[in-house]
Amino acid sequence: MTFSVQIICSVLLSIAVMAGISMMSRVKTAVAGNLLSAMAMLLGVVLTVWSNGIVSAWTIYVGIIIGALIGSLMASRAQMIQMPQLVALFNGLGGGASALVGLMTYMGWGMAATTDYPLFVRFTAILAIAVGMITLVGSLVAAGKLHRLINQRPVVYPCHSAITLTLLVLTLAMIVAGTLVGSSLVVAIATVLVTSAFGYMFAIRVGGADMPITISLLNSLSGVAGAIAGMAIGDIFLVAVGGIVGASGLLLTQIMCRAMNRSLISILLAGALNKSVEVKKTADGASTQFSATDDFEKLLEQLNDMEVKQLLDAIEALTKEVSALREQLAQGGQAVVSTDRSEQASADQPKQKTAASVLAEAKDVIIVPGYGMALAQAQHMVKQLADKLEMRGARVRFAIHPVAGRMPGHMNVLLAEADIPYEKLFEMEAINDDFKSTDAVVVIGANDVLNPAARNAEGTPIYGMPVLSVDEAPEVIVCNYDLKPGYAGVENPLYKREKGVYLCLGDAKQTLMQLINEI
Amino acid sequence: MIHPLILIAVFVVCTVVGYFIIRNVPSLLHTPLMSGMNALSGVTLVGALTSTGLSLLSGETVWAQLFGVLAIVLATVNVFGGFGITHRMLRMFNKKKPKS
Repeated sequence: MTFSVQIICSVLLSIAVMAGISMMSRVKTAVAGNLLSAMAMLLGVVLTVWSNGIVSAWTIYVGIIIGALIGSLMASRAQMIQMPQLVALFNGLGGGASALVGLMTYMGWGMAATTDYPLFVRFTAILAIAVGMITLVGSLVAAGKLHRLINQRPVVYPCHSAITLTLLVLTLAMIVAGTLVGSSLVVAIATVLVTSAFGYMFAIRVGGADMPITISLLNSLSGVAGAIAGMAIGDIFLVAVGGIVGASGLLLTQIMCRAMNRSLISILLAGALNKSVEVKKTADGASTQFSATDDFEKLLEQLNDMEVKQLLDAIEALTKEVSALREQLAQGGQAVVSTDRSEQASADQPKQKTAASVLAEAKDVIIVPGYGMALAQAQHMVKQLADKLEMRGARVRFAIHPVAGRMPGHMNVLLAEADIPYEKLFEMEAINDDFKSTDAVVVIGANDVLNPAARNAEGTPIYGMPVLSVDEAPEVIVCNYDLKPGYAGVENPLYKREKGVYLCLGDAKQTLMQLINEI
Repeated sequence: MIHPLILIAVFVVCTVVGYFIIRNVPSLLHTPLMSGMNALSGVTLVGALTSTGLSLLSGETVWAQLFGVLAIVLATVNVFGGFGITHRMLRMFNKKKPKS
């Protein structure tokens, strides 16, 4: 095979990969798009093995078989709930592989002939080691945090920023040294150590809700590392695909940052605000609120079915009256009737309504899932709730905040796993204006993404972050584990609203089950 | 060998084109997109194969083989794991389609 044919093939395969990704922009064509990308990748590998004349190198097949077995096993065993840490882990593996390719190229192992551009090769090779190792170690830390192997909270060491900055400078020095000195095992090992330390330092101070941004960034870096390794060995296909992956991660990072109204720098460098103080302060408040709701739950248990039925009948009668009055209103007798109505409403509503009765009456319900739903693995319960409400003739939609969960699209995947059709999942911009006109909102394990404080609480981490307008809804049912502030550490004033907020605290699976039975 | 400037140009063009293609992917599919990108980042397998294969044939040190095979394993895990999980996830999104 001639050199030019090889290049043409690489270009065609790169275009095939792009076509595959572009097919992933619609659900219907996405499966085929993914297969097309995979096919292009397979052909790319075959092309490489063939054109480099390494068909007889038996060790590569050993590696491929081991990797294929592990990869297939992971793909078939993984649960959707583990997606964030799995994606983080894969980001790291990609980075690690690119770092190794960079290392081999830098050491001159497996270079077919003496290269025409030794400086460029050494520069890109050592850069691939650096970016690859940062990605590997950073991703392992992120995956460990997501898998709860290490503390999820941001960890800040003394002089953290200074150390990180020093490591960054050292990394740059290593790259310059490696480029100028030539193949040197000492420089290579030093680069690995310095960049690993840098990767650790930057990932360890990121926590919780900032994870979607970190994962997206590492996703981007894993692609960039591959592209740089591709430059080092002079492979167009590798450079092209690495560039695409880098762009994808960058785009997602940008979307996540915008959704949180934060800049990338502030997350990487100032991840930890003085949160410990705020958390302590609010922990006390939360515990008192907890006992009050316990009492409320006991009270609920004391009510037997008969009473509930009576209440429901009363509410039904009331709503009939109200609709009759509305008709009258439309016909003309405005002033008298309207005062009548408001009196009735204020007299009867507060005692009688419960979360279940509100939902039983609701004709239009919006469900807001958050990371708590993922933690409690309550997505199947949510599906049951939605089914029950729909059986009663209600329209059920889901409002998904871009940063709900721990990675981009996290909620969508969990709900899809529970068989909830994607047509019912709405992005924030698409549904935010409908909260005022809906009958009821069910919040499941979400907090910061609907905290109205984001609009006016200046100086808090969530200030200015676009939030779901749940507070505009007439009735809000909150199925959260507790009332403690979310990751951002800002209390949610919505919980203290006097009218139309019903708190069902505890494990979302159980509270939802209770709610479903009561409706 | 391909001229460095061509490689850099390819990188820039693919990044820009990729950016605009991926911008059309709805947030609904962002998780499958990311795991798809995981699989694609395993493309570094191509580089690992080249380096390892050539260093075996040219009789490099055992170290080269160790690192090389490790790189191949890591990249292949990414390729198989990434495409596999993406496929599973996308089928989940599509599952309801034929019935309704």
